[in-house]
Amino acid sequence: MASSSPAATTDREFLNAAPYPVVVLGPDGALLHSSPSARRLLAASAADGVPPWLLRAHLDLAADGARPGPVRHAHPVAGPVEAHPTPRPDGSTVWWLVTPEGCAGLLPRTAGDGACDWELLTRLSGLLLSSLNVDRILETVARQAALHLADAAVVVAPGGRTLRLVTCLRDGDPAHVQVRADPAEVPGLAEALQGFPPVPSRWIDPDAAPQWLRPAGFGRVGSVLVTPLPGHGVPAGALVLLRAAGGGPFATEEEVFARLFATRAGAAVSAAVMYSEQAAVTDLLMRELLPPRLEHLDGVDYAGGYRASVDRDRIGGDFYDVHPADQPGGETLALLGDVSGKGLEAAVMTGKVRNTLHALLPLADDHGRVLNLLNRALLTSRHTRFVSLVLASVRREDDRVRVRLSAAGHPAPMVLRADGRVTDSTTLGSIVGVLPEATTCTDTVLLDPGEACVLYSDGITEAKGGPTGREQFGEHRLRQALAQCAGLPAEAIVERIQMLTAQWLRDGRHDDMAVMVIAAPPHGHLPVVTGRRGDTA
Amino acid sequence: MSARPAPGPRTVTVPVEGELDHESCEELVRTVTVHLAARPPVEVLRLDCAGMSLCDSMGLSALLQIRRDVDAAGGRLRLDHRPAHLDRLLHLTGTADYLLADRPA
Repeated sequence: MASSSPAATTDREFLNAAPYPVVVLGPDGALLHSSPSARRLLAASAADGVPPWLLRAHLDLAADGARPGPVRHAHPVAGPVEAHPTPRPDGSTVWWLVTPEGCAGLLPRTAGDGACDWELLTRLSGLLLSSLNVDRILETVARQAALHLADAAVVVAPGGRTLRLVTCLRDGDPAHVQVRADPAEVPGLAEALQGFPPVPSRWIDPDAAPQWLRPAGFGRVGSVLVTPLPGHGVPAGALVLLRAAGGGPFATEEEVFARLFATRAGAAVSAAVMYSEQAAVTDLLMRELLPPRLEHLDGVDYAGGYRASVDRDRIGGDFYDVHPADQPGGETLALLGDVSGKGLEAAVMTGKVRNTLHALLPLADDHGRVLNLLNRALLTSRHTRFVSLVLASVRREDDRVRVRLSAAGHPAPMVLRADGRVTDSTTLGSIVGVLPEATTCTDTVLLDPGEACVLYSDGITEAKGGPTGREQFGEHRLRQALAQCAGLPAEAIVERIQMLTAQWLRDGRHDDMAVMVIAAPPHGHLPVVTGRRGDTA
Repeated sequence: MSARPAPGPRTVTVPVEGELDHESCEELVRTVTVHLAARPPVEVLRLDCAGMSLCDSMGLSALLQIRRDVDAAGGRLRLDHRPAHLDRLLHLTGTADYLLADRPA
């Protein structure tokens, strides 16, 4: 508050008794005096001094000279405020602030020692916003309400026929309780759970409070206050404050403060509920889309690595799968692909692609046919989203592994030879899901023991980072990295590529990055028999 | 990326500048849609790709959408001044024949 001389303060002391909040401003807008109720009102919107809206009105007034009329302002808590100016002969102006409820309901004092409620409310808001875990927030609401507003607090979570309660005694720890009870047993609770405004505490007979509402260890109830927790469009539950017998009823100010607290608590609870629902959906989709754990299968080593984009739409469009042969000596179908775009739409399409390919497994002899059928299944007039992928049909032949590769609009796999040479497969084909026909030409690669075939998504080669932070990792760096992996097991190659790209990216944003290695086990390699028929070697 | 129509009665040139990716592709598709809705109808829609620094999978998806829209409107699409990276992408994805064909097959 601006300081004023003691004499001037004494002059205006009589204003403190005014029925409305009142401030006196000097010709230049300096705060000469404010009544206690005005201080409580103004402190809400300005750290010190005069809130901008009032200062603006005041300065406009001085320029004008005409008979001043009232100025209206929408106060965030008190609601509409009318400021009526009365010019004084000395050039100062007395501003009378009129609110619909007068000043009584405006800004309640604290129940206890009269410390500033705004500070308390701000502190409580901070506590409420510190978590997105629903249970944690309900506990915070109960604990803080019991500490500052009552002798005990019960938070009733919204939900079905079973009531979920979080109870807390003052200075105690919150407890989660589930009861099968009718909320209508507590006057005002059923209404509060539907979002209706609170019933004044004095209307509620404390003896009517059912046993289940009383936290363990709480004696006779003296008074009850039920306040709804307003959520985003839907009620987020209700807050029940209990005062022990002999503690007196809840004052109007306390009811108002409880309402303010409940508003913030409700917003925090419903934000957490929405977040957890969204997280549950995302997790469900992620689980469905997570790449499988790969291992040794029919005498061939498989390893895969997937690093999802860290962006907000964290479900991405990269995927890989390995479908074992359905008969001994048959071909295993491995595939790695990338759906254009990100987020839920990409995730839905990824699921569709993987399911369709699974269903087309019996036709996997003919890659061209599989891709054409997939193309037809995905083709739609609604969008031009597409998938690029590589199909790899893998069969062990004596020591060697034969891999038939068909790319569909996807970077051709790299082949790592035993001597460290890295070559590109020659397969080339069109993307799937948007063109009238899908075309591909298949390439067959023979892997000697210790050699590997590397399928990757463009998230790897297009990873931006390096010294400038803007350079792409590029195919040449991937080729160099692979050249140093000659003879390494499939797992180690995947890890090496992931490590190098992670170093390249450092903290940079990136798309999904997927890599899969198909390797012929080196000589003398004893496969761990985890896959079916892993002992045929 | 910015897109600005060049003057001309039945041919419209839309420059594609900067990165054509998930952030800029919608704007390009919208711009083309507006041109295709104009009367008299656009006969040839030219995308001037000289200033295109990158085209990712969403960018390609946008080009495919534009091709569809232009075909549906009975017009022709030209991709002018294609940088090497765009040609590489069209080759890799097998979309060159489709996108660069004079008329739909």
